Amino acid sequence: MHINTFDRYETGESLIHRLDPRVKVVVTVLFIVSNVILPDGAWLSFLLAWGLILWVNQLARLRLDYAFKRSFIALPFALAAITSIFTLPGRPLIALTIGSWELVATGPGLIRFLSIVSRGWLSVQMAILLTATTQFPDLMHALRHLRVPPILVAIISFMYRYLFVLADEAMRLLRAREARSARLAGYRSGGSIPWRARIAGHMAGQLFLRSYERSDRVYNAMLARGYTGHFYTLNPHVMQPGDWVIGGLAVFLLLLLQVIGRLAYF
Amino acid sequence: MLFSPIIPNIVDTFKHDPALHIPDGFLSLSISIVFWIITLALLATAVRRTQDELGERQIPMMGIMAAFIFAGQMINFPVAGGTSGHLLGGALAAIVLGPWAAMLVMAAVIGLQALLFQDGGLVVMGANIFNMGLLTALIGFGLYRSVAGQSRSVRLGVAGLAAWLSVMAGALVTSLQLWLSGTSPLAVVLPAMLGVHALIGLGEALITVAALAFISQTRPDLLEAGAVQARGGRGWVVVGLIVSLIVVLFSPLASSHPDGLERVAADVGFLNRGLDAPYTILPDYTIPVLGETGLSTIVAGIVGALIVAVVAIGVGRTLKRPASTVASDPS
Amino acid sequence: MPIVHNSKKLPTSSTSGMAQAGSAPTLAVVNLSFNYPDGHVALRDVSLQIGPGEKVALVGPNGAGKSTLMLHLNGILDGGGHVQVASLPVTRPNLPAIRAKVGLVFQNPDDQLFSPTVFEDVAFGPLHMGLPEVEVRDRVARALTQVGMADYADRLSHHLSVGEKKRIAIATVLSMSPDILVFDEPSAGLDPRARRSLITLMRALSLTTLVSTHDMRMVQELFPRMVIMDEGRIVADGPTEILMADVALLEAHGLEQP
Repeated sequence: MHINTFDRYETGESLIHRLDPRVKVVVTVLFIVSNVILPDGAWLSFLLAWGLILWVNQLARLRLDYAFKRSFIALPFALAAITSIFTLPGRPLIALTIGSWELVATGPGLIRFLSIVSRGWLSVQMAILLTATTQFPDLMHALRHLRVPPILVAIISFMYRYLFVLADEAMRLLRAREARSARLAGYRSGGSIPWRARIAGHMAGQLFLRSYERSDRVYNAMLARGYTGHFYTLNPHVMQPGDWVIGGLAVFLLLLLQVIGRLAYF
Repeated sequence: MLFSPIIPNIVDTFKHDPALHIPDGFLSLSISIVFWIITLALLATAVRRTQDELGERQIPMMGIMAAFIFAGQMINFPVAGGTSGHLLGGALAAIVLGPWAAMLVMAAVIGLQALLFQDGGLVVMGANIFNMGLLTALIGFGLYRSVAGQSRSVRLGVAGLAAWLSVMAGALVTSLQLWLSGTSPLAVVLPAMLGVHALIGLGEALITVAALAFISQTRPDLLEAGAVQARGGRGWVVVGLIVSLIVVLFSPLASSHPDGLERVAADVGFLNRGLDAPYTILPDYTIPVLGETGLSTIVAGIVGALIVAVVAIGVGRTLKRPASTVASDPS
Repeated sequence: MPIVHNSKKLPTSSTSGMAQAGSAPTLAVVNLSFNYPDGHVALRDVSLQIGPGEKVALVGPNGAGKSTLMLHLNGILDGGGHVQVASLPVTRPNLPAIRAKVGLVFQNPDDQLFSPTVFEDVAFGPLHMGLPEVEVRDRVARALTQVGMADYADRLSHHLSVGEKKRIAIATVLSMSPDILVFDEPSAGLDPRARRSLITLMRALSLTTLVSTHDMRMVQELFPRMVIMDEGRIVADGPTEILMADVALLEAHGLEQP
């Protein structure tokens, strides 16, 4: 019994699921770019962008909080931006004294921080929806269509195929180590940090050798099936009129967001 | 038969250093694009070079090695109080696989992490690949190659140093990118990143050395192959040493004099203050004739939308292909 | 029709390998249930007791839950119910101590051997426990001797055969002086010679042993008590001789007579 935890795809039948993967990838990237070039404080646009996400979420027949719940992965990085609250010059809001430092939060600083966080958060959610509605092989096809070098796509596809196998091996090595990591009453257990690092390094080396030798076996198997270095693929993706319409609509909406964002700026 | 070890907290085991996987929205578009250009150029070379060296083995080997790096990043060791050291793997990959292969492999890993797990952004992926994949491979291989003929302990020692430096270099460049994008002030982000990664780099160094020790003990032939494989070894050494020197000298300098740097950058115009959009086709989104009024902005927007629509339709027409083409990819 | 026996009540013809009435069980599993994250119910209300010195075989079709059960014994998995090893409950705070008591030998020896040399692999457990070097060396030597691989200490694990690796894997666990040995499919993938030497080895070990296996001939040879699992439940638990003769029972649960 294997659970494929590397599958972020949510099986479903919806407009978004059926959409050509190229359109989905391009729109996702354009969405992210659009957010990034919106000026600080374009709150209406950010809000509308979120509305877009919720709408896509809905169209994909996913639970309304699907993207939201999974979006907190970008959160730790917000720490990097938090300092801008105190360092961007402008109208001071509040002053904090920590030890011998005085930190003054400024208006523009706060706006900058919240804008950065909004951009990051919006981008992550759209990326989540992309992977939730597009199967991995289709994602790879989309990249091929979008002129990503076929070699790179082939390597990533191969990697994905063996990801689970190797991650499984790594997990089992970790588990074996855990099973023998015991403590005896009266003794200091765990070994020194360098010793522990050495063990971890040995495990990594072990995993490397197994992977390397596995790649030999896989290569031989491929040779045996006539592989000469080229991958032939069938192109199942044809852009339908509906795909164009939706793509065009998405671009239009993003442009609208840009306009609104700069309108409010005045 | 043992079931596959899927434990509820498998996602936790993916936790590696979060501070180097930059999400979207934290770098300005211009910085993102600059690094995409650099990354794509280097990756293009990497593809060609590994093609020459590996031939048809290229794809299965690189793919599985990429899976190894991904899986290898799960291997950790407890340090203290719930934290643990992890492997990033750039230096290790470069030493065992050669620099170009390592760049490809790391790029694949970082790409997948971003695409599938939103670990790192899509638009900033060029920068992430550069920081964690290209720079680390360069420093890792360059330094290691410089002591290729020396004794085992020297090589292992230098490998550890290279691993540490590669992490520091990644931290340095990440800080610079964040600063130039106007996300964080240099005075804060640089010392913080460098400080934290001095420790993380130590973990990287220890694991890398131990992994190499294992490999050199069990299959020394593989290490020889990797080191010898890369042509132009001397070039790598030179560049690797130069970059390492830059990292070593620049970091403390920048940490202690961040204001000087800021002034220089502001003067030269690098700094993105974020108040203006970098691209203004129509200046300030107004049509010059109509002047700065709300109406003109709206009209500008509609004009823009129309332009894009026409372009899109035109592009669509040219991209249209007949159904079910069997496409072979020329290598 | 499935029979469930309480091992303490049934008489047995073999005098060795059965629990002495009244002594504390080495292993006590009470009402253990477990679901995998995807919802699959792996264990349903499993209860099992093993006394000191007992040798018990766990049999059943694939997917019965044997491995899942074993992973609960040293806390790798955590299900609902109660597990106790030598009077120590398997709970999070006790895990480091439990791992010294439960010697789990995985099916694939490659999973178990992660150090470059045999010595380091066998020494890992004692080293982690913080034992002094002299003691560690002593334990390693004894463990390797027990598995018949005394002069393999400096060999590289990577280059050993499957049979040799399996024995080293057992040694890695013996060096921790556990209270109970738990094997997952020990004879799987072994050629007849390696299998024979494994069986000889296991016969010589005097520790309490629980083995999950498909090898019915080995069960008959080595294990006086047999526990049949199917679909997450224990459907039979009793003397091997009696259960092995019940063809209908065996077939009902995907097993065959040896």
